[in-house]
Amino acid sequence: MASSGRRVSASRLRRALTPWLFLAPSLGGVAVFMGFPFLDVLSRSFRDAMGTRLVGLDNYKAVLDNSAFRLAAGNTVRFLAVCIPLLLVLSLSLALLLTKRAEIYGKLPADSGDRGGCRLIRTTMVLPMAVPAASMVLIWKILLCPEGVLNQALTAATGEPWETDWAFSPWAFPVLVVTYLWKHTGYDMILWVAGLQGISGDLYEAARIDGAGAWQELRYITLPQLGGTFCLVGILSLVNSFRVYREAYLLAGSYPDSSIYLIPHLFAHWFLNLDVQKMTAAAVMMTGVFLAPALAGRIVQRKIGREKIGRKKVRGGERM
Amino acid sequence: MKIYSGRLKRHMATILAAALAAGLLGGCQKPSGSGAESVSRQEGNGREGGSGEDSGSGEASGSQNQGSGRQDAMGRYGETEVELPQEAESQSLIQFLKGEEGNLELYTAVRDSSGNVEEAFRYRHLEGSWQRDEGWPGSQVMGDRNLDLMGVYYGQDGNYYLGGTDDNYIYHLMKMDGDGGAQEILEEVFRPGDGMDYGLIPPKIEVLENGNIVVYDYWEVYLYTPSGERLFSMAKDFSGTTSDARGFCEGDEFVTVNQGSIVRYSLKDGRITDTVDLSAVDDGRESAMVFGDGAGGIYTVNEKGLSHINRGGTLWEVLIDGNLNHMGMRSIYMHGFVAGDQEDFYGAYVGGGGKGMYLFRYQYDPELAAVPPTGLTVYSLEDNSTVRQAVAQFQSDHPETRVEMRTAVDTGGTVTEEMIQGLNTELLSGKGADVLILDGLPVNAYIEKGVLVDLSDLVAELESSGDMLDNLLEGFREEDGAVYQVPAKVGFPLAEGRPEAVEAYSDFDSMVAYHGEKPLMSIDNYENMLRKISRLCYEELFGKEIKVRDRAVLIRYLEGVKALGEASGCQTVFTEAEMEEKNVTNFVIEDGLTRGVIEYDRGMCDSETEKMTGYSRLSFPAEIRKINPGSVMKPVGDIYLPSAMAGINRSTENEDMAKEFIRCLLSFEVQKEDLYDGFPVNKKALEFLTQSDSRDNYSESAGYRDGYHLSASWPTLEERQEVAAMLETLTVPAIVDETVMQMIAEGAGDYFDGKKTVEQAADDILRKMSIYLAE
Repeated sequence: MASSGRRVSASRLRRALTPWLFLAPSLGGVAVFMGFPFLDVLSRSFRDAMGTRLVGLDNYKAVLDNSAFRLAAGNTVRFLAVCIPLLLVLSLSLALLLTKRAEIYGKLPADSGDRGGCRLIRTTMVLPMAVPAASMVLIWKILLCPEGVLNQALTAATGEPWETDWAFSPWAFPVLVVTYLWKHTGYDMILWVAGLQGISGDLYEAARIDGAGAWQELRYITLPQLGGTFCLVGILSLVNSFRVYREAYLLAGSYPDSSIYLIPHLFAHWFLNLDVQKMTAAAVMMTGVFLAPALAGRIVQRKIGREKIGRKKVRGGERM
Repeated sequence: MKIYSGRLKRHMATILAAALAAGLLGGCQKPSGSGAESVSRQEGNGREGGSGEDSGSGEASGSQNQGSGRQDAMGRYGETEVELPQEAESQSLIQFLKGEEGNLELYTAVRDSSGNVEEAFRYRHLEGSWQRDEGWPGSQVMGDRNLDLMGVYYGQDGNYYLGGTDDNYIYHLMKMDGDGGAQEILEEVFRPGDGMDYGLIPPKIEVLENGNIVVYDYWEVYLYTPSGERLFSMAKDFSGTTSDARGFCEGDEFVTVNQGSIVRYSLKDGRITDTVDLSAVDDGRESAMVFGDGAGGIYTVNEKGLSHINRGGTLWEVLIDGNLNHMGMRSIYMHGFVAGDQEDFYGAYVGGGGKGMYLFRYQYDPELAAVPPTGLTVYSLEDNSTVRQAVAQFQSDHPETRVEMRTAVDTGGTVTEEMIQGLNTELLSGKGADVLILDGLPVNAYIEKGVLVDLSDLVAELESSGDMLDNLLEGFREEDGAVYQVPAKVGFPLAEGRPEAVEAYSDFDSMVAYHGEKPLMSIDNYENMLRKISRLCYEELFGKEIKVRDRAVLIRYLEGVKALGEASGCQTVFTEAEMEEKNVTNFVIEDGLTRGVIEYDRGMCDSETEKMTGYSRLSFPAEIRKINPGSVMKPVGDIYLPSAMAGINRSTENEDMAKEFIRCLLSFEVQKEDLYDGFPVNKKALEFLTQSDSRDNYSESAGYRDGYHLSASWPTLEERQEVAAMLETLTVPAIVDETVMQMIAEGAGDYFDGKKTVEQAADDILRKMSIYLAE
């Protein structure tokens, strides 16, 4: 009996350990390359620049009092608030159009070529992803410099001389937004298309039998079914939005127009001046800012999940 | 059985995973032993430690490990100076070679005031001493034909050849016979072509065993028969020196450097038979000399050291580290290098301007540690001649210490923010070089964060010795009395022109208000003008605080520059045609001091400023004052422009040695060398350079398309003393914040072009500047 009990507990232990063993390599990697460095960042955020003296919350206070930080944080939030919804809407719209077009032309025989140019459209949209940032910025500079194509076109159209330096004026923010959208729309569109392809055609067919129109299909089938894809695209867009610094830096240098002065600009300058104490404090605060909604979302999701299971159980009981 | 097999697999997998993890973590482990970080990178020359093959990346063969219980690798080439004949001290070196019977031979000359050879001598190294060859007919041979001796060559055919030019700069090659006579050969080859004034003047000649002659040109090498028939040519990299040592013949091969690689040509048909990458041992700053080992292998030698590669090999073996001896010294230049007969090498060097000669022997010493037991690292963003000189001098004075100089960029490279961030990463982790050359680094941030050691005790010691120009060191004293950086060299802007114009340089408003016959300063692009004014009026505009952050000061600055620029005809950008016509460029330099006082002499302005970085820069101002009576020369304010700023990393474990290095950097021995990068801060060295008449033959000239021409000789003692006295009055180091300067330059362009008002431009600049200053 005792031997059987030991066998059961060993088996349970093994079952409990197995997933952790599988997770161990990636957890180890995350711990070594992200977890421990973050702990170091956390520790440094309470010390002076060289990490030799504890300064309490002074660094956090200094960062919050820093007008450059406030400007950069404000710009970053503004950029996210403008770009991410725009990107999601634009890429989803394109994905829907592309899917619809593929659906129409998909009825053609397989040997009828590009089926309405879907492949060409997809390739064209994804192409900006393959263009190196430096080359892309060069093209933007040719377009947007005072003697650039845009000014020449405006001069020709209006008959008045245009010499606006778009990247170094208040127009810099819209320029950066367009740059970001141009670069990432295609990628997000591909993700949405993958999500759309995962929705069963039976649902649409059933809806049509029930008399649903295109809007109702979108409202009651497509959008709810794309919930998972939305999370993925949203997170990837958020992550990618931080990489826009590369374009901003190449386009307008390390001190661009104040409207596109972002957190990474500030971090680069702080590191250049060994202001690591400020960097770490700001990094910890930013982590908190981005982690809090993610955690809150997760809690809400789990709560909803539990409620759903509860409801199912109740219904099951009733049937019994 | 199955269960057993499964368990075995699991256990094996666990063991392998553990081994992998241990290996990975072990690889990340810091090597044990203090001081290993700076030493383990060194190039070892020890023979016990394996092949010693190294591609120049610095991984040591036989590298030592301090304090870990492992035996230190021993054996390295040591350097000893070979005494030269006493009378040769006042002569100039013509050639150093291995001649008849493998003896070392030294050819020297006494020159007249024009630099032509009056008499040449041959010395042979026999039984450990130099013996003058009284019977050498070479001087007579050349003198009889009125030829200026340029080179002496010992051919593989066993004959000596002498080369030199006549009064018309036509080259003549003489083949010596054994009886003291000579016969001219290849006369037609060196004769000027039709319609040409000059013919080929080869930097080097080699004669093969079969009598064929290899004639070096600057881009090519030709093979001639003794009768003067050209067989073929072989391409090589350009060499602008008069003694081309980037090639040699061995057997039926010619080896040279072409397109940055070593190439072997067959002397049968002129075809390339092999190519070897040279980049690992030659960064292009100073061309490496090449010579053969007699067995198909190749030696290269430059300031990095002496390296060898076997025939068919791909890895360079660093035999002698140039950092450990005179090879890396910037005040002397390699003239010739030969392999001796006892696994040794001889290197002949000449001093700056061809004055002075030195011969060093490099011999393997099994008793020397492969790498000196202690190490000191010096970091600089860019290469610096004075620091290099100090490294070599320190190395020579402290053979037990290995000094490594690390630079972020090679000569001509661009410093990027990433390089500074890389250094910052090291500093933050408590590492980094022992000595930091702070030019271009965020010094104020380093001081504020406590990265640098307070050098006030060192400065006090140096000042109390009375050897230093205290005024130049005191400019870096902080309010609390600490000193974190000391300059090794300084320059200063010297104004020259009409007295009332030079007087106007006393303050910014006077400069702007100046109304003379001509503009105060000459034409330039606006950015250079902005930058120049930032230095000339440093205290008013920048000073300890960035005063231009004040809107009113910034507007005054911009308006002033525009007024000065309009008077001089400045533009933000010049077209090609304007550049041609006005003799101006769009090129911008950091301090904006581009034009020089020659513009004043040309009548373009009432005054100009010359950036004085040595007595060679005084030639034109002094000459111009002579030919323009009434002209005056004056330093601008008390401004000086420091360079090679040295500081010590607080994390260093070698603080005493680092201080010793700074003492060396500021010592008479290092500072007395004129490396064209500034005046010394050492008073004795300045006095030495002031009194030195070593440049008797120096002359400088400039000509313009409009027919203007100016020639100047080395400044007189009185003129040098005048400038030396000026240096003692300078007290304000002008180090303009480049980020702020860049913002002003970017924002002011539209104002200078008339596209914006001064207020708009100032507001744009201040908007950016406020972010920078708030950070």
